[in-house]
Amino acid sequence: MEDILGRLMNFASVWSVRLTGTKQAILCQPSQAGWRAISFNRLKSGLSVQSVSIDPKNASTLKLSQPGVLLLPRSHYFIRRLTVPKADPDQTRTMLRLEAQGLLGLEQNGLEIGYLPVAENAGSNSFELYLARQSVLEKLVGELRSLGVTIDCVLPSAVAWGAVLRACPNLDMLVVAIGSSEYEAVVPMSDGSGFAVRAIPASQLNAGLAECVRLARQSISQADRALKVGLLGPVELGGNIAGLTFEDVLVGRWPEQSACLSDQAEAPLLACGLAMGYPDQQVGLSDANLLPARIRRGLQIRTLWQRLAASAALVAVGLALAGGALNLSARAHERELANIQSQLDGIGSTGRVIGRQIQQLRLARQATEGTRNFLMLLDDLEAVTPKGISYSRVELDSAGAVSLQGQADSLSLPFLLPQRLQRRPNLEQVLLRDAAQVKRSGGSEIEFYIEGLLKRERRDGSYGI
Amino acid sequence: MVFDIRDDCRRQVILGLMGVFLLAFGMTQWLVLPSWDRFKSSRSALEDRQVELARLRSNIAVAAQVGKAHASLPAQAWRVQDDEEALSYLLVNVESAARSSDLSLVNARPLPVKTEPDHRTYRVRIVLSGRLEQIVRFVDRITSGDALVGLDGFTLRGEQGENKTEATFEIVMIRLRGLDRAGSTTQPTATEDSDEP
Repeated sequence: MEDILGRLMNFASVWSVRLTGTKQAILCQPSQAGWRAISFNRLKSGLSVQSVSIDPKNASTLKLSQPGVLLLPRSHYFIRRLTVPKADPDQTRTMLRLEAQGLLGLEQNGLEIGYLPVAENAGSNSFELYLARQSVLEKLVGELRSLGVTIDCVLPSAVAWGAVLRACPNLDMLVVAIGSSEYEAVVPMSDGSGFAVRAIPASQLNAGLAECVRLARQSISQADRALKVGLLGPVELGGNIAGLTFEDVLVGRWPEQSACLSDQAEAPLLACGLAMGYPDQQVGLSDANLLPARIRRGLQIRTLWQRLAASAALVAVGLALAGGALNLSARAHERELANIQSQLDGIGSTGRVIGRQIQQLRLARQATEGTRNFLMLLDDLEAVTPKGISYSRVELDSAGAVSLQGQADSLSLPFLLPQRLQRRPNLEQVLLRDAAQVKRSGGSEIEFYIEGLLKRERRDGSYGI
Repeated sequence: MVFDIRDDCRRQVILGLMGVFLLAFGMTQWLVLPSWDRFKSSRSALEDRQVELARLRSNIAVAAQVGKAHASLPAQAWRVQDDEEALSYLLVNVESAARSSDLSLVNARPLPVKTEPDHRTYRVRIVLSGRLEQIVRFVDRITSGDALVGLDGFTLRGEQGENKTEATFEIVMIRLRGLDRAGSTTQPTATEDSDEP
């Protein structure tokens, strides 16, 4: 029972069920121009992607069952790297939370953490920690809910851009446009353990980019070659930066989906969704999810109740079907019964009279059976009895047991009788029970005692009619 | 007070599971079990009626044969008499058959009358003495009369020094009730229903 409850209440399990197996997912991102959203829909013919307009006017149409994922911009969360001793996965979140509070001096409540493992050492694990204020997250999620989108996962942008860079191994770094006033630059770490993500205001794009290029060059072995920079969204560079070549990530990797895009500002969402495999997968969602605990609890409870309601519905439907099937069968029986009853009403009295006549005939036959048995037994005895044997007592009782008592001239003669009687068609189980020499006044003689049974059909009187 | 999400969930899960179990129990109790009982009783009734219908059909199939055989039963089989009269009738027949077969009737004892819905059975135990062929003749005479008379067991014992046999017979007479030879129902009289001999 404890195990079942544990499984039912496992957070990761709740997320997995919510996100995997669904055919739709909606990916949202806040920007200064408002909300941007892309809907991923898995059809039989393939993946369908379309822009979704999130505003109060079409809120009712968005209240769908698809899980919503909020892509959190870099400016809304911190990233820290922490190394903690190896521990049970359930304890890792608590340990990381305590470490983060100690290091950053943040208050215990009001902080939401997500993490991804980046390196495994002997005795310890390194994690990339994402920290965001619950108040900020609740505000964003609440705003989306009021617009008709239920958010199941708040995904730090670092996780999404990491997935995009991993999907494009030819790129050295990535520049993503978040709306029109902010950019995010993604650079592989020099130790190869992950990516550094920096938020760059639009006004400082070139300077920020130059700094990122410097970092990126540290992580590549051929320092003098041109860096290949992937661009997502409308990136407007103020001038040329030497030693860089640019490539549109969508056009380079997902040209077909890129062609469907009506607004280049949605390119980051599309690339993120494609790289992470929406709606089929949920890479890193359970641990990196920054959804506030209060909302998570509400979702979890809602999911649990949905499961219980589904179970109850299944049980009810199953039992109702069973009851219905039984009632239908009973009704069919009753119809058949009524049909038979009408036939019985037609032939019942005649048939029953004949039945009683048959019964009376049986009685009459049984009455005359005893006479036949008597004559048959006398016939059999006359036929099989050898010279030198006489009977002093012949008995046939009402149960069909035959007993013969008699005398013989020699001891061998009584031993012949059972076999001979057994061969007759009317007797069975004939046994010589006793044969002995008895002294009489005039000498001695052999006395014997034989038992047998009338055959069953004769005993029962059940043969013929 | 520290609120533990897992405890709250556990309570809700337990509540939910109890709800599901209660629903299942209620539906089983008030829907499935009554349906099952109805199904069982209707199936059982149907099987009984099918057997009865088959029996009646087989009866009707042999109606002509049965009617012929039934009409050939002796008229005395339906004679309505009280038990003393019936036993007396049987004993008179026994004496008459013994006399005509040159047998001496050593002993005769009536046994309790057995009553069944369709018939009554009268029994007498008699002891006769004579030669074997006379005994066979007696049996032939007593069982070939107007009444339904038969033997329900016998003992033959040779008598010492003479060529005689002592025979003990349990003689049975059956009186049918309920249907006459034409197959119509007869009303038993008050005395007929008495079980006392």
